Amino acid sequence: MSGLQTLSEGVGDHCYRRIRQDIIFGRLAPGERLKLERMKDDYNVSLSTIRELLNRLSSEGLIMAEGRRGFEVSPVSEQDLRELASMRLLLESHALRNSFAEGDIEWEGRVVGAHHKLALLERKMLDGDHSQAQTWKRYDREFHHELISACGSRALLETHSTIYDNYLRYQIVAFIFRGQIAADEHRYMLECALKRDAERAISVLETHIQGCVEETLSRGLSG
Amino acid sequence: MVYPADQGPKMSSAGTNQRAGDRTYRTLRSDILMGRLLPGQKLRLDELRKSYGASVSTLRELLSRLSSERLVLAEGQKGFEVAPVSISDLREIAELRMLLEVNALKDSIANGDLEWESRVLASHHKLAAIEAKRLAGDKDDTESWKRYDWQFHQALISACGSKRLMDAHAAVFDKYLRYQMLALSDRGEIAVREHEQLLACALNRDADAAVQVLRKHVAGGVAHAIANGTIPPDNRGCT
Repeated sequence: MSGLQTLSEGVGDHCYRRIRQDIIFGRLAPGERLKLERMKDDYNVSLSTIRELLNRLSSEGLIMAEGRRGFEVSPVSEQDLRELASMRLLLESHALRNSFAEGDIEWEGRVVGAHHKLALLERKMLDGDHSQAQTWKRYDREFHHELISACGSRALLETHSTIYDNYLRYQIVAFIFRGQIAADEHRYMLECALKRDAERAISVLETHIQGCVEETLSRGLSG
Repeated sequence: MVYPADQGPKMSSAGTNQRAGDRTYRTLRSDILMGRLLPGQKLRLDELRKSYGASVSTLRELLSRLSSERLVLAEGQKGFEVAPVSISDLREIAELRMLLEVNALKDSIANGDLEWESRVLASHHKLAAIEAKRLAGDKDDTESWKRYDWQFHQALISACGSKRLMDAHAAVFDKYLRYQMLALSDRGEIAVREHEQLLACALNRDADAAVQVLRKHVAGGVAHAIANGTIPPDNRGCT
């Protein structure tokens, strides 16, 4: 019994991550109705596991549970994007301040390392190679995460991470690559981190997020 | 006691759905928040099945949902337990609550219309009534009191204009509430006066003063809960 349970938990977690990625990276489109029977076959897990995972994702805001009528991928809207962007700025600024104040040499190492990977992918993208767009987005996320990782609050990091992923979905839906501008902003943020200049980092972050929101909206959310 | 379907913590998405699973979810969640299920308590599926009248597979589903809210810990093959508590966790939660609530309060006081004023007044009226009862020595209905406290704070920020902010705040407020229930924290007249001040600041549209009162209110609540001695300092091996 316990062996079976462990196995199904492992499968569930794996499947949870897959569905989550599929929503964030737009393979499951905003507003798409999620038919349990089909999901069961697509992801190769039991009906009750699928229900469990969709409920979990609905508490993260990525899916809407619609009473008896089932589930659908959360729709996108300009209002929601703006709300997510200000939440991200609120949480990330606060965390940046604490992280810059508390971060040790290990933290600096993580930040430098994460930026190195991001910068490499940014150069590739600038050269026109979009084959690793998903990896690039992952490194983008990792870099922002490392910057705040010394903030000392797991509650803050978890809330930020959920908001960030909801925000990220919008950039994928509209496929946003702002090229050199965003790459420069990332480099400024790295410099600010090493100089422990939180206030300047926050103002760069604000520009960074605003620029991204405007770019996303100018492309239209339906794409 | 369980919250009625349209009231109390985290009711925003309940809708009209009366599925047994949702009801059990709300009951379980409320039992954790109200301290009827204690921090660290093992949650055995066969026992829960009897007391909540739900199937094992439904329960597994609900517990994993609660574990993604960090109210329950899933421990691999060892099963589930109620999330533990610690002073350092309480401080994190209080800090996050402040960050979100201060921000929302400013926006709400700036944007709130007459409907908002009316909601704030109504929710304070109910809170004040139960506070007066408690000050007079009748402390039976702790859960209603905490529910009205929750509703007052929520009404204050309800004109902030961001559903994402309200949702995140509701989630963190519920965790804060759990600590208050565990420590049986009641600051009596001090908290009552702070609520009155918050109401006055809101109606006068004095956001800065409201924020000051709120900061004092939460800092006082945390200090009081810690002084009570029921919450262990830290139970975390790592961060």
